[in-house]
Amino acid sequence: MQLVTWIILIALAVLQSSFIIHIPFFQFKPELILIFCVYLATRYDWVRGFWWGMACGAAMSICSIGDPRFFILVFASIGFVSGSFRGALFVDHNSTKIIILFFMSIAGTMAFALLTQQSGFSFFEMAFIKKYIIKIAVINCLFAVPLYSFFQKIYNKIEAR
Amino acid sequence: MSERGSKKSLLFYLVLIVLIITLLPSSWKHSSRMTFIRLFSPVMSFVNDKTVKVRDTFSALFHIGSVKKENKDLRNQVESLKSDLVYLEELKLENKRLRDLLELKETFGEYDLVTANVIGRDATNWNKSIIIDKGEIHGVESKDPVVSYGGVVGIVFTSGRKESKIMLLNDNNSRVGVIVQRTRDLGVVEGQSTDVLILKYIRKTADIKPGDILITSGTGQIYPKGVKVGEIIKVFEEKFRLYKFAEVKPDVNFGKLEEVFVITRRDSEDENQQEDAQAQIQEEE
Repeated sequence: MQLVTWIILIALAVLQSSFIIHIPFFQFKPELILIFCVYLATRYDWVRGFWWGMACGAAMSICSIGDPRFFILVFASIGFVSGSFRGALFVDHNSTKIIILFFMSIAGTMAFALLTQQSGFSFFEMAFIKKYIIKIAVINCLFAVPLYSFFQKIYNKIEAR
Repeated sequence: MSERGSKKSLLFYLVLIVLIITLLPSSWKHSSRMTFIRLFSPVMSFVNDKTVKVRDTFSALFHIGSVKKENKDLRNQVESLKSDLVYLEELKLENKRLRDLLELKETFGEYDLVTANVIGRDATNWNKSIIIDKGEIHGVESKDPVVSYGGVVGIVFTSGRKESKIMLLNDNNSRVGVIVQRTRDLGVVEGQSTDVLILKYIRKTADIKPGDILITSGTGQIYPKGVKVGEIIKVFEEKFRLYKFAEVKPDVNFGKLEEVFVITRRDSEDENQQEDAQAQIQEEE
């Protein structure tokens, strides 16, 4: 299972830094690694969500100039929080996972904006958040629909073996 | 007898009509002809059109082989002209780029410019960066300023052997000291990970307005002084803030960058001049 997860993660990192950058939707790119991170956390538990979140953060930092520590910290937190929903109702349904992804996407964007703003927080300075936070979350959710079905098939097959 | 007589009289009338027609004045003949043409011209026109169409159709049927060949030749010609047009358009753009480059070289005459192509972009939504195809072996180092035809692009974030990552001006970690060209007020332009930059720390009494041009101040010792950064599009003035703020539209379209110029170092001549100047100061002291 771990090997497959690593392969998927590497494949997503390659896709994110090559294919995805050429197809921006409304100026934004879907965050494939974040989508995968939330899927893993909601499928298993918060412990695995935390560890795989760290791995996802490291993979995401390869695709960007951002500080790797921020990426690892934010993704680990997202994995942890998403994994905490494991006991919730209908969490095995992809639609529930997508709803969790929507909120995690918003939280992730806010966390990044807060961590990278050097001169303090104010609504004026957070134009990025004000204008685009929902759009990014919606784009992530749209991409999650086919991806979650794909991940589910793969992991169901692996677990069946 | 009567039959012969009637025949003779018929012949007589016919000759008489012919004579009358022959002896009619020419103007009358002309006008009657025109009246005839006028009366029958729609019919004639219709018949003529149809005849031409039928003739052309038959002609095309008879010469279908040559028509096909001609059509093929014309298509080839069109394709060839189209590709020529694209090539000419590309040449025109290249010419413009080279002219701009020449202008840029003149502007930064005292610096060394390394031309680089953009080969990649940041994959996340939070950071704005590009990857260029020039690195340490080309003289590109970390914190070197990067400019384009429009103005400031950003700085070299990390440089590898043959490629470098550039932090764009609109990245939310990016800061550049600027001067408002008209009023000479100092400020700082910051990126917000959007297409719009923000101008900060402009004193409250400053008379800045939309349309003012911002240039680099050179105070950070990274960017050379006088490079265009952008144009103010909206000024904000809040009652309880110490400074004014403004939204700035960058001159460079970061989404469409194809080639950029890394300012690597000053010319040796300029360095010599600086050394001479320093030596003079030391001597004076």
